Amino acid sequence: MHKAMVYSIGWHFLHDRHAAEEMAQEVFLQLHTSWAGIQSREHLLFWLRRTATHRAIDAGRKRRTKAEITLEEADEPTMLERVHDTLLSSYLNRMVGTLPDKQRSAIILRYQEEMEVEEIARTLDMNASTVKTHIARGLEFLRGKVSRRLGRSE
Amino acid sequence: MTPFEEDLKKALAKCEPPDGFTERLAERIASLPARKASPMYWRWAAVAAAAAILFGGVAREHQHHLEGEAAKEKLLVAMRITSSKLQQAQQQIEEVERKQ
Repeated sequence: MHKAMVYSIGWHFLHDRHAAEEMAQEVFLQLHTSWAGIQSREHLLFWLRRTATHRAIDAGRKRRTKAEITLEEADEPTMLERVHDTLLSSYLNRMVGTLPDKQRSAIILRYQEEMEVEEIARTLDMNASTVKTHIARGLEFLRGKVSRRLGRSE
Repeated sequence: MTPFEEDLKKALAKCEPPDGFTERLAERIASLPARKASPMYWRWAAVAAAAAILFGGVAREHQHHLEGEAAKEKLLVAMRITSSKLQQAQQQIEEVERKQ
């Protein structure tokens, strides 16, 4: 469902349920007023991903800097979210929230939305090689964090 | 995809928004002021109007063409009839003259 997709982009980006819901509501309100410009099912999906990502970046910038957000301060997942939650998933999820905006956007679109690099590039107005770099750097950072925290090596 | 990327995919699994999300959204949409037609709407309206005008023009042209064709056909038939009548009349006259 589109609402889960939009909300999840907000949640994975902001790690704050209220902020994620507010962002998702704003996206759908904007969709309501922009409906005449939506040309197809594919365009709708593209539009929602793009608008959600840009709004999540904006919302993130308005909040405190990520350096000030400690793991303890981040919202706990709900009971429902806990179903598939493991220690690693929870930790990775939170670490994604500490990545720089562009890396975070690229990682979320790649692994939440399972988008191809070219699709991400179109969504974020970047070229494909830049997206690849952001993903590679994001993965490198996350691997390092996980290795140090959980003593896991890849 | 590496095992680490699989783990990341699991960590970034989609989650449903909190209960009441749709209802709250519906309330907000209902409270929006009446929508003004967007520039995109006017663009489409202009395209639709242009298409209607163009199509109307083409249709009128086509109608005129059909009417013209029909009139031409009628005229040809009338001329053929007239010609045959004239021919018949001519033949009758010639026949009468021959008899005389």
